[in-house]
Amino acid sequence: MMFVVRRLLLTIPILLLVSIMTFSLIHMIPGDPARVILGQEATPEAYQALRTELGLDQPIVVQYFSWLGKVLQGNLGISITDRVPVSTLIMQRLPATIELTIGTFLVAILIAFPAGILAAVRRGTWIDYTSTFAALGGMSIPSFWLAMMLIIYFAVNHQWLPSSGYVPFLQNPTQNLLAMILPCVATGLRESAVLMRMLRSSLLDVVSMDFVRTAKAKGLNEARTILGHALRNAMVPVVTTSGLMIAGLLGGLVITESIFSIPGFGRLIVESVFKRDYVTVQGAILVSATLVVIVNLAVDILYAVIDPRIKAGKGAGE
Amino acid sequence: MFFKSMNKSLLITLLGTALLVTGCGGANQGASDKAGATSSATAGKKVINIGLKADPPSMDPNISTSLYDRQVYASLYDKLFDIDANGKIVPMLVNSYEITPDGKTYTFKLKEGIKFHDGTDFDAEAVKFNFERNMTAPKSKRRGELKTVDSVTVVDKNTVKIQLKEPFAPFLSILTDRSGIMVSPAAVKKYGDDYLNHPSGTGPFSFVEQVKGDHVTLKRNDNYWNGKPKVDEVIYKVFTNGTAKVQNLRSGMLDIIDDMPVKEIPAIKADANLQLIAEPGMGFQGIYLNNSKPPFNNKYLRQAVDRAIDREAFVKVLFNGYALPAHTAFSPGNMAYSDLDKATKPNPGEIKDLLAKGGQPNGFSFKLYISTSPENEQFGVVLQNMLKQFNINVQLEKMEYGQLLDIGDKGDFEALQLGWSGRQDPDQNIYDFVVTDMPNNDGRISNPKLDELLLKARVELDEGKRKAIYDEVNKVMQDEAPYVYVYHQYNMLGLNKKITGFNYVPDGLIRTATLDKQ
Amino acid sequence: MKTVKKFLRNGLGVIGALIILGLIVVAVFANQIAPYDPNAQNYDQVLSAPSSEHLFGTDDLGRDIFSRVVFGARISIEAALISVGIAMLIGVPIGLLSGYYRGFWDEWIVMRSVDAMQAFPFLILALAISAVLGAGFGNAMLAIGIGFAPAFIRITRGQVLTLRNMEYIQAARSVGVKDARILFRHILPNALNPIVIQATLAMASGIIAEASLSYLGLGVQPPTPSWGSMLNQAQTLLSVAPYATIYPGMAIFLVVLGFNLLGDGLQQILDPRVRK
Repeated sequence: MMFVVRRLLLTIPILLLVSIMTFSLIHMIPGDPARVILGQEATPEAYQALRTELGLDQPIVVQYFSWLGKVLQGNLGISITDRVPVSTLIMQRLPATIELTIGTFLVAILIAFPAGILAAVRRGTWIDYTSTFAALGGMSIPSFWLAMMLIIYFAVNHQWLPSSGYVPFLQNPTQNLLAMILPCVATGLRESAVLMRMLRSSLLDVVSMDFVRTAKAKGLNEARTILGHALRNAMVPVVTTSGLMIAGLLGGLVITESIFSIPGFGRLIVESVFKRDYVTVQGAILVSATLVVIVNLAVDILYAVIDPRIKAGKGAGE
Repeated sequence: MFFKSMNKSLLITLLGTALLVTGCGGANQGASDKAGATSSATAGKKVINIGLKADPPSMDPNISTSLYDRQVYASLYDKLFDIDANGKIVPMLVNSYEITPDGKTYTFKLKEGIKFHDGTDFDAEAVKFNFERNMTAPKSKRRGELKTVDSVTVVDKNTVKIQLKEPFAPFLSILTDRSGIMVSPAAVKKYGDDYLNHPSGTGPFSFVEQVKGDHVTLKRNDNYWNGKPKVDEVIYKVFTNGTAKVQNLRSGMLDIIDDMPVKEIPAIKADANLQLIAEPGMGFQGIYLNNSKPPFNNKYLRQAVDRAIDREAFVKVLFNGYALPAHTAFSPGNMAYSDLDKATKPNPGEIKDLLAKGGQPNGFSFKLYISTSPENEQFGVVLQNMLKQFNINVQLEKMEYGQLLDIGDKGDFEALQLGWSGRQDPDQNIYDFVVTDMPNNDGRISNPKLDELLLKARVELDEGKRKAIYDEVNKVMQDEAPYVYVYHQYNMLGLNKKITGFNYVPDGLIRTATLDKQ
Repeated sequence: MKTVKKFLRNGLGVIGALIILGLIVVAVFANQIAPYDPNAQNYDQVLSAPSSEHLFGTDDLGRDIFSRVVFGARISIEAALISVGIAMLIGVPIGLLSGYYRGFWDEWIVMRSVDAMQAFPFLILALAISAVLGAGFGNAMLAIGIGFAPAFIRITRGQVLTLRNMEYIQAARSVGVKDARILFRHILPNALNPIVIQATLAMASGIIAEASLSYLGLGVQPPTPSWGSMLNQAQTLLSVAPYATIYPGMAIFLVVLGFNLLGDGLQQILDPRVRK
């Protein structure tokens, strides 16, 4: 229990640091949002007026604390370019990214599980080598290049699948799903490789443990041993990897989203960086970092519950 | 391995999203549409889908600076005046108008019985309100355009009188764009700064919703004064990837696209279902040279760069002919267009001579800032290649658009690539860019002769005399080469042939009032 | 010697090493290998399909794609070395000191900053840093290097935490050997294996990250050929010239695969925790 409380307390400075880093980073980017908003038709008076309105003429520390104060009250602020609450923008963009993340994850496990188990069961055979090699191959494909290749083959040459045209699921389910296939495959393939390797090695770890040896000694055959006993025990690191993967995908699908014209969360952050929409960038990165921190926390707690050897002191170490 | 996984992944995505939806109360619309074949989500409704190159940032014309806003405004709003297919100014919300001989007083008789989308009346008070908002609101981007307006008076319910401080030839032209858009005063008062999320105009379509970065949905205005529009909805969808946009046009997901990569033109032309419209636009693209510091405070070096660009070849390589070589600010449709705009082949002897006169007989180097898009990078690379032949060495530096504007503002550059989308009146394409201390004069150009001529052209109301002044301006510009004009961009629209009733207007904006879909 | 033999028996690792060796050869002898100047534009031969004259075809400015891919190897290898070098230069010393001295700085400043940085989506962090510094190869390297540093801090620190309690270190301390000497003579050499493995794998990611930033327009300045910027240019050519996309991407894939295979192979022989 102490461990959980301690870990919870640790997330606070992390999130504070994230917010300070985001804040200073975006304010260091040359180019002033007022200038970007006003574009080529700016007059000096309009420029000054806008800076004052946006609070940009105040010292940066003052800007930070006034922003932080609002965030603590649950208010992420209003986008300076779009005049819409940042929370609304995030809620508009999250569904597409969540769908993409789920799809990616499904592609990943559907490839990784059979391949990983097979490689572990048949370790040392050509099946193991082939799938290990294929996994390294999968990890080496730049996902944006794979995306371009998929578009060339499936959308340009054959017109089997659309290369874009995302619509919300509720608006048109068929079109939504068709438009999601290529993006999910483009990112899922790489993730499946990561997952497969993790699954294989953790299965092999478990198989060498005593209780599995015992089971084997009792005469259970290896495949059944792995499926029946080992798989469940090997799941902890796999779940961890999956959790981190999902958290990473939420903000990390920027390029996939832009190649396939999906209005997602990652693109929101990048577009906002380019528009110097400080408020939106801060809010969105804080949300994305919070998700990562929560997943990390859950994973740590899960570890501690499952494996009592991990004591509080080791929490941040490794 | 990958091809096998395709079928699986299809299943996976189906499963995955099915899971998502059961959590959200299930699908409520017919899933019978064949994906890719039809665009509208709900059967029976006529919807026109328009693909835009970028997100329209603001539905409030008062603060708008984006070309993509103007595309949506063409459906949402009407203006006091409009441009017709020949590029001539015609009344729109104005019924008739009078200008006093001194060119300082404009009287507009308004069309009667027109209502805003929110049900309030469009009348002289509304016109006064809009002018005053554009002239005084702290964040207004329209103040510069309306600087010469002295006062606006309501004569009667449908008559309004505008008094200018001095004659201003481009005035009506300005009213064909955002400064002439009439928004509902009631909506502005009700929503304040939040008006841009609740826009209300008099246009053929009214606002439904905008999802930032994705789409804007408009629905038919049944009470439209100029005939009931024929389709139920217009949806503007953002496609930052040009190739994807063209594919969606070909598959029928989009009915009209606002622009396309030149490389995709043959595909559109070859498609029997599509129509390509490619016409010279009103703007220009080129390079700002910083006239206030070396090397380009030297006229001969400016001329050398200007003369060393083979604009014919440039346009052919980069645009396959879908752009016009430019040597002045004015494209062929403009009243100030002159033969000086025609490109000449570089003459190595002349350039060598210019370099020598400029004190750099062995050539020189300069740094050119370009923005990060693939098209702009090509621009830079081709230019670099052309100038290299004359020992002019261009160092390219990519910079993101926001930073580029900033650097232009501060004058912290040697050369910088930035153009202009163009307006109907010549003044709007040159005054702010070259007159001393004007806001878009990034090149720090300061030439008394130019300042004088351009001011004269502003107050000259006689078209013939005005043209003569601009001829003079073009000569000075060509001699001084303070800005290097390279090409006039084309307006390129792609349409599905199912769309009828489309009329091309040289400003490139898609007017939806008359559109129908078969 | 024994390690080398062990490595040679690891087939995939050797393949990886050979791929990287090939890359280095191509990069060094790019001038000899490339049939054309990679930046020479030939407007009479734009977008010609692969042929014996232009092995990989030409791009929309008539530049030879094969020559550009060959010269792109230089950028890629520099990207791998420089970005990881920067990450190690930042990460290893901080990890060493932090793990060795522990205490408030370690617990509350260093490790929490590492947590915070790792909570950023990597590409967005690199993108924001690039935006701060401006486009360009050097800045992209710095951005990627900073993004990778936390992983090196973590690994180095983890090693130090285990090693500092070892008897021989305790012994050295008790006889008054200076901290600096202990750190650099006794701890660092023994902590090196996992760092080397991490470095090899990070080089793979470094190449992809450079390509991604160049793809987004924030990497090398034109006209320098980089595989990522070639893909950036090729995105407007997807339907008319697929070969402009295929070859630069294949090059990235191959080289990244090389580093991944090598890293994996090294892990098999250097990391006692990994069994064959």
